[in-house]
Amino acid sequence: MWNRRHTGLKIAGWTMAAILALPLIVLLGVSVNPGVEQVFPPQGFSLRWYANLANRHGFIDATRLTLLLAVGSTIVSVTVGLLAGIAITRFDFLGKDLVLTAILSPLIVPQVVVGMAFLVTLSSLGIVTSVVSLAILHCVITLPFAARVIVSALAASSRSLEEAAQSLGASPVRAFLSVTVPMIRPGLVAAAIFAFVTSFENFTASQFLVWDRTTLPVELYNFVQTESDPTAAALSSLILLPVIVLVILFNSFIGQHMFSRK
Amino acid sequence: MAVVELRDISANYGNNRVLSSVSLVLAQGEFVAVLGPSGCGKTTLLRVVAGFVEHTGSVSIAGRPCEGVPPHKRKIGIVFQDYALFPHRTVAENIGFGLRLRKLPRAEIAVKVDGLLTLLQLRGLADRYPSELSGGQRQRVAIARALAVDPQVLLLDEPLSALDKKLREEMQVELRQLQQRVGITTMFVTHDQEEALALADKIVVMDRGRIRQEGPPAGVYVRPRNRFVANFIGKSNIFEGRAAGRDGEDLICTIADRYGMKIRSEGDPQLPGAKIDFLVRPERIRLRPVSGTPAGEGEIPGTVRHVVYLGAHQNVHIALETGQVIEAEASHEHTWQPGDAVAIGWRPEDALLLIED
Repeated sequence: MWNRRHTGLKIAGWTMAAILALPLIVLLGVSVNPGVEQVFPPQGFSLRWYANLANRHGFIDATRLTLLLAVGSTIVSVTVGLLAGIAITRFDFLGKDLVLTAILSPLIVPQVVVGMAFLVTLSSLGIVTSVVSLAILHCVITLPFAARVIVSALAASSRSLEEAAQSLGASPVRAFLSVTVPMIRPGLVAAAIFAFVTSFENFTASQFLVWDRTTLPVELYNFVQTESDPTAAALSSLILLPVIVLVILFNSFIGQHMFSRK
Repeated sequence: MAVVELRDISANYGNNRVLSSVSLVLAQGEFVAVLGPSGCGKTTLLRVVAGFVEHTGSVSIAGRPCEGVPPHKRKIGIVFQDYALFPHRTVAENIGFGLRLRKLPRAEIAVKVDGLLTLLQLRGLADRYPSELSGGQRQRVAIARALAVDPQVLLLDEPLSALDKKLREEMQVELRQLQQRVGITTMFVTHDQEEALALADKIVVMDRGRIRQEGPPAGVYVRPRNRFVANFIGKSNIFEGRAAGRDGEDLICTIADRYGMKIRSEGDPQLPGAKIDFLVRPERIRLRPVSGTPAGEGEIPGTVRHVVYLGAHQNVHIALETGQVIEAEASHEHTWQPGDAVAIGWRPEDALLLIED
């Protein structure tokens, strides 16, 4: 009885996993096609579309910009998130709830609206360079993800630990760095990963700010509008690589610290 | 010599006044228990000494005024209610934390940590993490960590409340012995009156942000000055009456305008008709069955409500004819039954006049 139900659950589970993984497998298959058609299963094996990426200056430039934005906005949003988190969890001030809501609001406001709002605001301010405008946008978009995780990590860390460190001779800054930071480290790593991924994959809002340069997801989308060879599939497959690394990192580091803590 | 001197301390949380002009002195080596119900301001007072709370009035530690001195420069040791051990550091690292901050040579730290491990019976646990320790061990690590930096004063915030009853009693004895051996001035915050009576050289009873009475445990127990202290420390039957005159060294007081009772009261003259509050401890109430003789002079009649058997003695709850319900501790010489008619009384010297509200 129990065994049969178990088997049923297993089948359901594997089916779900297969449905999730299938498009990625097809993508990988398509990317190694020798011909110009995007077909699956591939009619042979070739890495020519991967090699072709080197000739696509648009992709190379977009990749550079995307990584720059992802790293930059991660640093900014984790730093700001940490400072905001300290303010929110450690101090009482007027309009505290308002600040928290403002920081988290990009989570709720539709990306289309955020993108549009940035477009009209930045162009009316005369800021029409993609790098600057995208940098601001990505910091705003990633901040709520980082802040949320950091605020809850800080809220969970006991205040008396810092006070104990102070009573033993540590200045408040020292106490924070030597006691609280190690405790919230998993939260900081999670916040950084969330921020990085959020920036890296952002399409909806970023496409509003295409003036002179653009990001990888937008560039990829523009490419498949006009071309149909497997270059885009090859690029997408390459993007999977760092994502897989991040997922493994996330699982082994965060999973261990966050969920198996006694 | 005064190690800690608090003068006229007041503090607010928002619009709430949590401390109102509290003054307190801790002498060298003294063990002071600050006792009171939750919300009376006792923990806030401890945090004032530590420097974590904004306040008015002055604090000085070892003769040095603390105004503007941050907690990390105050030479204090604190043991928190939740112990606040650093979870990602071992027992030895926790104890050595303050020593490393002081940049002592590594060998010196090792010697000191080793000594504390021995003193607190933590040998063999040096490399454990706090999550691998029992409640009593955690508490000992917290004390060792606080003592490591040779503080001027040790502040203990309900350190025994997280332990079960048996361990708590063991730790009380241990804590007291340790404190005497180290000779450190200690301020101990607790809501447990037995703990305070058992441990302290001096008890400070607080209520609603004020000190209501301070003194040695026996003094506070035997001579409570007001209703609050009388009720909070030990059990009390509090009577209200009016002064009716004197009989030698006793004050005669009428209760419910009918029963004339005597209270020992040297000196303080009470105007006839003045309102008088006094208390009689349950163990000092005398009980007499009223079978033939009705309640006489110096007695108040009543009826037994119920009896609680407590092994060594029994607690008899009595509804007096004045309407008041009192509690008396009785031996097993007589078996009391609900409904029994009784007369209560006391020796004049067992009635304690409350001199404040």
